[in-house]
Amino acid sequence: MWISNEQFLGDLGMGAMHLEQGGYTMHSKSFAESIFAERDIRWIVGAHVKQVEAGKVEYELLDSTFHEQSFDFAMLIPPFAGQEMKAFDASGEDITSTIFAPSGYMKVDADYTPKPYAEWSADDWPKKLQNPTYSNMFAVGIAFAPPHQISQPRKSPNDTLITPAPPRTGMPSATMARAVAENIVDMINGVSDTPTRTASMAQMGAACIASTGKDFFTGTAAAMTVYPVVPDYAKFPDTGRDQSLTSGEVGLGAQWIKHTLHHLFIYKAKLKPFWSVIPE
Amino acid sequence: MMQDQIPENKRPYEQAYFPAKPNKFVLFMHTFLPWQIIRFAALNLKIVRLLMKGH
Ligand SMILES: Cc1cc2nc3c(=O)[nH]c(=O)nc-3n(C[C@H](O)[C@H](O)[C@H](O)COP(=O)(O)OP(=O)(O)OC[C@H]3O[C@@H](n4cnc5c(N)ncnc54)[C@H](O)[C@@H]3O)c2cc1C
Repeated sequence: MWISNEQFLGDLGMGAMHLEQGGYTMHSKSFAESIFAERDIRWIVGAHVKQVEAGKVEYELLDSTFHEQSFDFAMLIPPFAGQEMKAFDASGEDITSTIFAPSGYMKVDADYTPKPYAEWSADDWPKKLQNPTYSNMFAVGIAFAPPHQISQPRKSPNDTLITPAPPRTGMPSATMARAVAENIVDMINGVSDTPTRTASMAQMGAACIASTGKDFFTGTAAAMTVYPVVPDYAKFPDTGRDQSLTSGEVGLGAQWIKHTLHHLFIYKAKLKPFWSVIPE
Repeated sequence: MMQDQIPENKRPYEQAYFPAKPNKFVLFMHTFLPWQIIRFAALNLKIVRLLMKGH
């Protein structure tokens, strides 16, 4: 049983995606439901987990009804959360709200003006990941405050927000980290006073390989690529994405990619020779 | 077959009744080596193109 706060299976926290399958441009809801149905996995979506006890999880649905699911074994992924850090300036004044959003993530060069879902734009997303007040503070990956979710937010009548947070997976996190690190080096070395490289999630892609059986000859994985992570309906009016770079498929080849990435990234983490040429 | 002999989620109007399910040929291709070698190469190429766009 799969329990998720997604509005539908395949939302993936990024308002879903479209992929080419069998001559059709298909929505990721169809893709994900097909994989789940094939593997006999049931799903409960639009659910907010309220409480977990031994052998039992309680959740609220979008209609504010409460339900229970029993389990022998459960894997729970808690929602993203910022750190409860406080910030003070040199005179001891509390500047927490200047640096951090109420969610605990660091404010960067995003457009945080509250606006309805229909008015969200790719341009709201930060490019330099730099705090607007303190130019020597940056936040990448999970640490920066997104301007809003990517998926359409939904609330139950009880006012419980039931929506996935924007994914900041390994590839985008590391891409942002590299751009920011290189900008900081330039700023320290006096090459530039301001960051010159950008790494907006609305201008970068991501690849995600989810293993569905790890044997080297009989295993499979679902490989998904998406460009850009944050849909840009101004550039790509149909689906918000470049369909030549947005795809999904299941197969052994994808599982081999999972194996390859596993070894490459561990090699890179150990800083072995030529580690820096291995991409993020 | 009586409906109560079918797993609950696969009965008509239940969630697993609707999604597309792969046929035997598609399942065979998922692990068919020559095709998967091509897919491995194609996926690698796609990821390289993604990297070039985003970096
Ligand atoms: C179960 C799971 C599976 C995943 N699978 C994939 C996958 O297959 N592919 C993929 O691309 N991504 C995957 N991800 C996502 C990926 O791991 C994260 O997106 C990525 O690690 C985010 O990087 P980050 O540097 O922003 O944060 P993190 O990697 O979380 O780094 C934050 C660091 O800050 C440290 N820290 C926190 N608070 C403090 C403090 N007060 N002082 C000092 N240090 C502190 C933490 O210890 C941590 O080391 C997965 C995530 C999870 C949870």
